[in-house]
Amino acid sequence: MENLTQELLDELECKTAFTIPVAGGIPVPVSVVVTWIIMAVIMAATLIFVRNLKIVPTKPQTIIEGAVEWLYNFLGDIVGENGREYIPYLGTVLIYIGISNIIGVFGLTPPTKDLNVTAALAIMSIVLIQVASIRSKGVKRWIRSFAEPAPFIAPLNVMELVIKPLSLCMRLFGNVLGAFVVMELIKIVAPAVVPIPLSLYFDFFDGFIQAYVFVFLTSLFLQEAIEE
Amino acid sequence: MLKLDWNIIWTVVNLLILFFFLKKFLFKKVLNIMEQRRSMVEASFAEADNAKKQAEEIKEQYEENLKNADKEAASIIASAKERAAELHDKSVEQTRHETDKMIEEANRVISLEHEKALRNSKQEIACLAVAVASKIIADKADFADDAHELDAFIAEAGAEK
Repeated sequence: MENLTQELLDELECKTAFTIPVAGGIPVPVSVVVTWIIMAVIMAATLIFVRNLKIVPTKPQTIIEGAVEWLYNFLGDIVGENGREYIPYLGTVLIYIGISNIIGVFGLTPPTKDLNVTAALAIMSIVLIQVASIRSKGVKRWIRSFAEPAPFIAPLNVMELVIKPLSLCMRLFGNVLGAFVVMELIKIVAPAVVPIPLSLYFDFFDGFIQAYVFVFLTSLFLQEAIEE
Repeated sequence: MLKLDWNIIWTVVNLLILFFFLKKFLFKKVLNIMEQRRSMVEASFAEADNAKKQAEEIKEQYEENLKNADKEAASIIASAKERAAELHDKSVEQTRHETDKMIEEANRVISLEHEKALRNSKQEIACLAVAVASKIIADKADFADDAHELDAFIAEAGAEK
């Protein structure tokens, strides 16, 4: 039992992959290295499949176009016509979180298991939402929007600036961490066959659901912020 | 496990790089090509519409032409008929006229001939009468100078008849 606990704690720790020997050493966590791998894969796939686009599409092009169109329809429905320009960012986050969450299947540590990653994602989301709000309403109306619908709600609205990203961050982190812990436990208890169907649920289903939820909520907040 | 530190920067930078990359190489490109296709399809639809309209116009024109042609044909036929009737009338008229003229001529000739014959016969009769008379006179006396008088007498008799 002691062993199991220790092993689990080891697994949960966010290790430093290596240290860049500049300015007293900059540590690079594993999550960042895995992110780089994910980025490399995404970029390579993009460069390979998204080139020589033709008016009359080939089969891979059809699939990519279908995916992009689906993304625009799905996110466009949520953020509305005014928010269409933010869809590429939301799509990027969706792809990144989706792949991050299932990367455990390939034996890598999901970056979203690192609180720093989910916190960064959440902070970027709230920054994007506020920037979008300012761009759409102007600074004055943006400030005034905190006093809506009634002035005494203002403190709550200001608190939301922290609560929204915090909930986004913790939800994603908690789910991925939970799934990771459960999967590790299962792997320790029953290393063969049994993890496969459970991995389908915890890694794939839950992973995609969390990516979906994160982007969905961000889109929803965004739409709320830019609505006229 | 719950360690929040400056490593956040890594993710922010990574995500921004990924975002700009995907925006430039995925979203923009795919949207561009889709937009191009859309405008092309629209253009071809417009072209088809145009062609259809043109065809309709031509058809209309053609139908009108056909109608006109019908009308024209009808008018040509009508005028031809009219002319034919006119011609017919004219020829009939002319024939009648000619016939009339011929008849008139014939009548004239006949009357002339008749007159001539009458005159001839008068002369003949006169001569005959003179001959008869002269024969009688030769038998009896000089009666030849009275031939003229006899002629007048015969004319008188003819007029009475």
